[in-house]
Amino acid sequence: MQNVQIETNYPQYLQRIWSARYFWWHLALSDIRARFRRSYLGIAWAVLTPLLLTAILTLVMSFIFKSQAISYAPYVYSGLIVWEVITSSGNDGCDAFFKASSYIKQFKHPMIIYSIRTVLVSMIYMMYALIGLAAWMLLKQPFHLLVTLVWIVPALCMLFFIALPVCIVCGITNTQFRDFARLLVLIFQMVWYVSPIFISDKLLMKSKHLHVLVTYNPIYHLLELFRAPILYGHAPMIIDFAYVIVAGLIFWAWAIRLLIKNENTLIHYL
Amino acid sequence: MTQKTHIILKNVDVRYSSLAYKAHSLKETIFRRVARKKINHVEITDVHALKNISFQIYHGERIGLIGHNGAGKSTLLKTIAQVYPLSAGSVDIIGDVRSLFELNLGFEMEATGRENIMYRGLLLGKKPKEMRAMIDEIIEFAELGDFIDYPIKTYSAGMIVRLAFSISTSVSGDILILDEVFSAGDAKFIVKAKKRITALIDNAELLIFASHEFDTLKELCSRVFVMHQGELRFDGKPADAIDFYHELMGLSLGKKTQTEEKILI
Repeated sequence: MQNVQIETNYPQYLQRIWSARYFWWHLALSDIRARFRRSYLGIAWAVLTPLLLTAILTLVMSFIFKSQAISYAPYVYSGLIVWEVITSSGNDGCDAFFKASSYIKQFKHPMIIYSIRTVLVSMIYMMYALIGLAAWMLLKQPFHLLVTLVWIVPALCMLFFIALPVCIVCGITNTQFRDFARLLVLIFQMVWYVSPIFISDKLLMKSKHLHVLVTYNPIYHLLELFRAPILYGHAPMIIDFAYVIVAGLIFWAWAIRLLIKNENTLIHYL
Repeated sequence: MTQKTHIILKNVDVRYSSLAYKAHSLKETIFRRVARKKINHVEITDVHALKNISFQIYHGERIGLIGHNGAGKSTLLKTIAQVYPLSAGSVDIIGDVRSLFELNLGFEMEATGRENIMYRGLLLGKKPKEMRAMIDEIIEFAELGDFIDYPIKTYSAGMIVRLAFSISTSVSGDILILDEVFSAGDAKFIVKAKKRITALIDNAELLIFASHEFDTLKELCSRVFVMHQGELRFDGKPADAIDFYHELMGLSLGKKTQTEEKILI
């Protein structure tokens, strides 16, 4: 028996997210299934897409910069799959509430669960993509596999910690201002070119001015959480965690502010 | 902890924010912030969907809801289900709410009927284990046969209604909210559905449903509300409520029909 009141009571809000856990978890799994319904290769695309992109980028970059393709390929691949979680959390996040509008209009669950669903989908997808890196480690650097086993969980937690508020912010903003999704594509495109996702971080570090794109870029530090154990076989640095946590907290502050303001009224926009 | 199921609304107002209806863009918002005064005069006013609604419903009651299209029936039901935010007043509800609104909504069209039973059950707060235990019974009641393993998008409207109704009435709750469900199923299913609802009521549940079928209302309800232009205009016995509603219809439609008749002659 419960006394249902429209509340802004945080422990209760968290409790409601928790009690709806089966719902959002199954929705996320349903999304994954839906994505590959009647697709011949199915979930293998999670590995194939970044793999083919890596092949193209590696080919081009090794011509331009004469970098070593062998070490460059896993660098690009790792960058691509982590970056993909951020962009799809943002881009799919824009539609998260529209997509769930039939549920939102039927039953009062915390709005945030539809963002959690979206982020979960991209994270599950990314974990499949990690198989590609696991295979590479197994063949080339078996020792890295051990280090990765230890550090992959905190890295994934950090990724979720930053992707979820991004997803919430994008979702609420785009529900109110439909132009936002278009703008976001451009923003991501811009960040992609100024972050060491496919551009070699060592190359940027050598530059007098461009090194700031590495040193002070939270994306770089986020990627390092994955790259340090996977590519270099050592633990990520504390500073990497610090950057990601601070960036995450900023997004959380923004997301929570939007949630408090719009949690109840968002339904009118759907 | 033996508090009985109840719904108490006190002076409830619901407004739809006009912001949501305006062609809304970043450009406009920024522009409005910059030049606040100049643009104010094109303001669209909020829709006042529910006006000062107060009532008390206690367990065992079966409430019918009638009114024109746009009278506020669905809004009232969604407000009780806590889906719509209140602009003023308070809602006090004890009991789990199970609602059945727009019937084709709330299904994943690409997923099978079986999968959707699970999702909808989970939406209503059930656990996967509990849903697995009742899934066969839900399929049987919905009379879907082999279609249960086909994607929902292949279903006819009637099949979707039967499935949605079957799930929502199987998942136990204290308060059942139905919006015009009987208008969609076929005659045979309606008989079956009525039987089930009567059984639910026998278990001392609380029912609220909107319908245009006066016979059904008389048959099932102990009390009927008449909504008109966002206000609760009548609250009483089904027969009286229907009379009141006809009177209301006569008043608002009388003049029109007279003029129409003249034109026809």
